[in-house]
Amino acid sequence: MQLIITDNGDKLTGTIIGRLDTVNSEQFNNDMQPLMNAADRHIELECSQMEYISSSGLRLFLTLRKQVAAKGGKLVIRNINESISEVFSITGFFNLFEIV
Amino acid sequence: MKEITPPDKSIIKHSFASRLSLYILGVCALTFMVAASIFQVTAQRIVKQEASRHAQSELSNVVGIIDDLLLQVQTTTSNMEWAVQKKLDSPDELIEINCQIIRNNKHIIGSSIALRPDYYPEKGKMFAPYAFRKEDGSIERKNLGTADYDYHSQPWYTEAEESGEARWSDPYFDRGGADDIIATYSYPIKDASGKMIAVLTADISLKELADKVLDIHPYPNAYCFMLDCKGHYVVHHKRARILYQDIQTATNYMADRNIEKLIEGMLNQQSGMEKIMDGDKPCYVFYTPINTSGWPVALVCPKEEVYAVIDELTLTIVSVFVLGGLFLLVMCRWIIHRISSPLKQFSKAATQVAHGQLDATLPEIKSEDELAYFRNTFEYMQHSLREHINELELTTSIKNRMEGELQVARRIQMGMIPKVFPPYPERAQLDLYAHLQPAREVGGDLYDFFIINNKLYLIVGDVSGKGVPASLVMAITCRLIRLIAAQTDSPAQMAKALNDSISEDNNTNMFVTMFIGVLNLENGEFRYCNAGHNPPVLALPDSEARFHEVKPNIPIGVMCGFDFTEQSMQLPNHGTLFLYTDGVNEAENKSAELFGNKRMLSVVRRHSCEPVKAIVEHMMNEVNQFAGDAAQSDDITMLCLRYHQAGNDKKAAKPPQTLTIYNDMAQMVQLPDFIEGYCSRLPIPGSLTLSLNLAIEEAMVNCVQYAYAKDEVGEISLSIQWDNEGHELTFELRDKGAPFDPTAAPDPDTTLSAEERPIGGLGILLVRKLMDTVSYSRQSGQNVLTMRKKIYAHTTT
Repeated sequence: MQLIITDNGDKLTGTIIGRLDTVNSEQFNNDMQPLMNAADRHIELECSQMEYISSSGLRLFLTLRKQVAAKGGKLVIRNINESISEVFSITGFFNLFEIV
Repeated sequence: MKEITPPDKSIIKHSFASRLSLYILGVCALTFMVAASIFQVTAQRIVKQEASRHAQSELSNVVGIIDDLLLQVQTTTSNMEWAVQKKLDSPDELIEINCQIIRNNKHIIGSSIALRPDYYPEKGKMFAPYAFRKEDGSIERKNLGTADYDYHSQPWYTEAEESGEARWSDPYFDRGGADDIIATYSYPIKDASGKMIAVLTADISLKELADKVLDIHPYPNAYCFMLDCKGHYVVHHKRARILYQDIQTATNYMADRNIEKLIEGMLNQQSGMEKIMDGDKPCYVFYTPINTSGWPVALVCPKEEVYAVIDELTLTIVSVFVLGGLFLLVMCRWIIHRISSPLKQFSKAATQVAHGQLDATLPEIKSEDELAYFRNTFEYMQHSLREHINELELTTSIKNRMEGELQVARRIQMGMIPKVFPPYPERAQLDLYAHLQPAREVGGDLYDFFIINNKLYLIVGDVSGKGVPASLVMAITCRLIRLIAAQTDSPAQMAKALNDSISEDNNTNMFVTMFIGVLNLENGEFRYCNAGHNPPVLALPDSEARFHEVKPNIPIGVMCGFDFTEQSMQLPNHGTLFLYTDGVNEAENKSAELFGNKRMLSVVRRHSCEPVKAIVEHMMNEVNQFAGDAAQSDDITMLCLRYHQAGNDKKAAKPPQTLTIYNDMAQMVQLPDFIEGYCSRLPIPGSLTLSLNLAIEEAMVNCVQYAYAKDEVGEISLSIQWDNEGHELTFELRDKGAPFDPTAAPDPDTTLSAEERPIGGLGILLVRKLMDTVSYSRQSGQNVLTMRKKIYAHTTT
């Protein structure tokens, strides 16, 4: 699992590569702290290369979502694949996130 | 269907009869008006001519009479000249001549011989013996020349003296003799030297002439008058005018230029006619002079009286027309009503026919006209309708019978193909489903399958053509195949035997394309022969579906003695074999587009992990959806087989595998490899493996975190078992921690907003949703969580 954060001024983009499962969720939690700190900005999670997400991953997404809501930023999730889309739909995450 | 109601009679606002009558009347009126105008113009011209001719003739008639009278007077007078000459020497006898003149002409009322002054010195200056007729007819004599009557200054004397010619005086009131309006004819008597010595006169009473003139009455209010040469009235029905008024004065009030022309013409002794306005009344005035005396006579005719005859005529004609028109209208209506009344009866009959009463009575038509023709046509229509309906009833009954027979045939045909599915529930290695849908009641497609000596025979065929003929060939083929299969297990031999049998006496040149396959259920060897049929589709789970290349050979029934080539292959484990007829890939929609191989392959691929029944049903749905409203043009047949090498394949007989870890999160990294490793040898698509992985991970993480106390070390084991016959994966998760039933917790509310959502609780939800069944039990001090997933029934939740 890799999280690459790029800042192009307008927005922060976090590109997630690989599996976001329970084991590496701790690492993801650490990696995404810059995003948590910038929760007042426009943040995009680019998920086209994310293969897998477990509930621990979902929890971290939700944590970020809450932070962003609290600080008045914006969170957009992009390009989730079919199986992750299914997980989102089971857990009702489609209602919580702006997913494009 | 739109309801059709009988026509409403109230739409007839203007009946045929009244309309036609109005048209006829209109044309008549127009014609009459044109004729009347022409008549009026012509009549006016003719009447005017006639009136003019009539008036002029009356006028010249009276003028002629007067002229005649005057001429007689002239002649009587002039004839006495010699007597005067002879008696000049005896003055006292001259009076006798006068008497003689009066006696000679009854019109002459008085006569004198007025001698020039002092002709007879003994008689004085004036000597004019004068005889005149008294009212009693006796003749009286007297001398004209008296102290108060100087005849030498009278116009009758002076004019004769001056001109030296005999002439008529203008009428005047005679005071000297007759005491009446008279006119005098003066005849000068001359001596040998030509010197006038006396004037011989004859007087006539104007009264006589006036009677003749006033007697002219060609029209009720027409009147005649006469002038003297200077324009004074001498005869007029208004007596006051006579001698006291001249025509110029009398007509001064008329501002009409024609009056001047009239007066000028009359005074110049011309004849003619003028149209003048007498006040507001137009009049025609005809005039002509009396030749002998030059007195103009005029006849005044009011125009309205002249034309009265035309008005009368016009009134008569208009009355006749109006009465005639009314009569025509009544007659037209009556006749047209009489003629068109059968139409109403026809209309009634047509309504009856429309209601199914085909023998509706028609009106009797005695004439030989269009109506009679119409009646014949109508009758013919009724007759034809009856015949057609009878024919239709017959046809319908035949059709119903045939349809009934066809339904029976359909049941028989469908009874010839196996239709119980699954056909071999006891054989776990076989998943087989087939479907046949004829385009009509019966069809020419066929499929069959049966097991002889642990070999599965598969046949899919398509008889050329459709309907009953194809179905008969199909029936024969089905029966023959079974007979032949009892003798050989070689598809090529079967094809050959079938071909030879069918080709023989194949008068109708029908043929059958067919795929014959024989699967050895012991080793999965699949031998097949393709007799001109579509190539089968072969698909592996989660992989592309493709056509399996086959040798085409020729269709059954085309050529007797043909040697068919046989092929063989190893049927891939869990592979799907899809056999079909061209009714599938050549199904057409309304735009005549074909369903096509691409769509067919795509359907097989997308559903290659589902039971074969689902593949066939999905295919049928997609074909139906694609065809839409287009009628099914060809029989559709599909046969789908999946073969699992149960018992023979070591991989397939997968023993349960177990992964055991400690309650350390880091050990969870082994999970993905363990699950993928197990599932990769099963017919499971990759995406399903991922979701299974997720469910197991969630369940296992739960154990790692909560099964044991934090400082305690304990084992957690996961075992996977594949049930090949049930197509089911069973996961069992065991730990030796405190009893805990994760399934007891309620699912989190997934409809809450981000702010309200708790961070945890998603794990067990995912487990439940991704697995088919999740159950907890406590077995010999262990928590056991059992999760099951059917692989073919549901690849997605």
